[in-house]
Amino acid sequence: MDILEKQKYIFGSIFLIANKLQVIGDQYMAVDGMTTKQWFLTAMISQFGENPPTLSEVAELMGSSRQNVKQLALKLEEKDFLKIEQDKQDARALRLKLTERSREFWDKREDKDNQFIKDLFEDLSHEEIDIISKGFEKLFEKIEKMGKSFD
Amino acid sequence: MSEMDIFEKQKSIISKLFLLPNKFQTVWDQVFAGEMTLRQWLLTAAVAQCGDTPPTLGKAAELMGSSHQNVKQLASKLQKCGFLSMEKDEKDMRTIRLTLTDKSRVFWERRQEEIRLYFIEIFRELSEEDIEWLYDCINKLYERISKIENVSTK
Repeated sequence: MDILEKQKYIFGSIFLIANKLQVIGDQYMAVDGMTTKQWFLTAMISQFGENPPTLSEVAELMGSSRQNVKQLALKLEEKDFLKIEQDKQDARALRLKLTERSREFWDKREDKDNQFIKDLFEDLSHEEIDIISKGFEKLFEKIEKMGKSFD
Repeated sequence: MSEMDIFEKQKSIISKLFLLPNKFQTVWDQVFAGEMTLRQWLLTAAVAQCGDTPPTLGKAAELMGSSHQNVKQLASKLQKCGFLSMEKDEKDMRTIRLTLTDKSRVFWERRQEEIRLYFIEIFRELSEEDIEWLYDCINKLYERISKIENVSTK
């Protein structure tokens, strides 16, 4: 296999593994009425810490459309895990605030969830995990740069 | 490497697994200006991979790790554009087989250079050695995740 073939394989595998991860994640969280995508949105919003992000900011971070993020946000709001509020300064902007209920939900299952993540990497050595982590970082930095150069 | 470092790396990998596909798609759309979406190309590649044995929708879905429904939508779109034919299997009339058309072959042959450049750019920060190692390690991760998926879907 030449280098281009390996690049395509790595590229395709990222899509493939992400899809499988979503299937596994959905099954794992179904019993608690949660989905992988809703979990991921929660994790992305958490990254903003004390400053609730706008819908647009989260959509940009995720590389997703505002529409898709809004749909997910509404599902979380339905469960009382999220509050969608109009921004005080810009009425057109919507801010996403995770609720106390959301925090309690995820805190309670933290150990179980951490174990779930570790299990995903069970057959891999520390070095292998490091290689994937660094490889993905490099791909991410580059694709972010490429995305911005089109703006 | 401490246990905590490793766990942070594992979380980072998972996060990137969900972020990268969208980002790859955004840049692809900009390069190919909406002519053909990334996922349509991935389906094309999956069908091409099967060579002389045209896959069923189910097989294509399996290769893409996607749902039957999603692949059906993609396939229908490609069929409408004349890039894919969906024909009943000669031996089993209930099965539909996907075949790429000449139009598809010509289209992608013309864009080989653009695709090559797309991948060169994306992987520019990785050395050949990085790519070799990443290829091996991702294979391992794929095997592990597939194992978990097979166990949990039984």
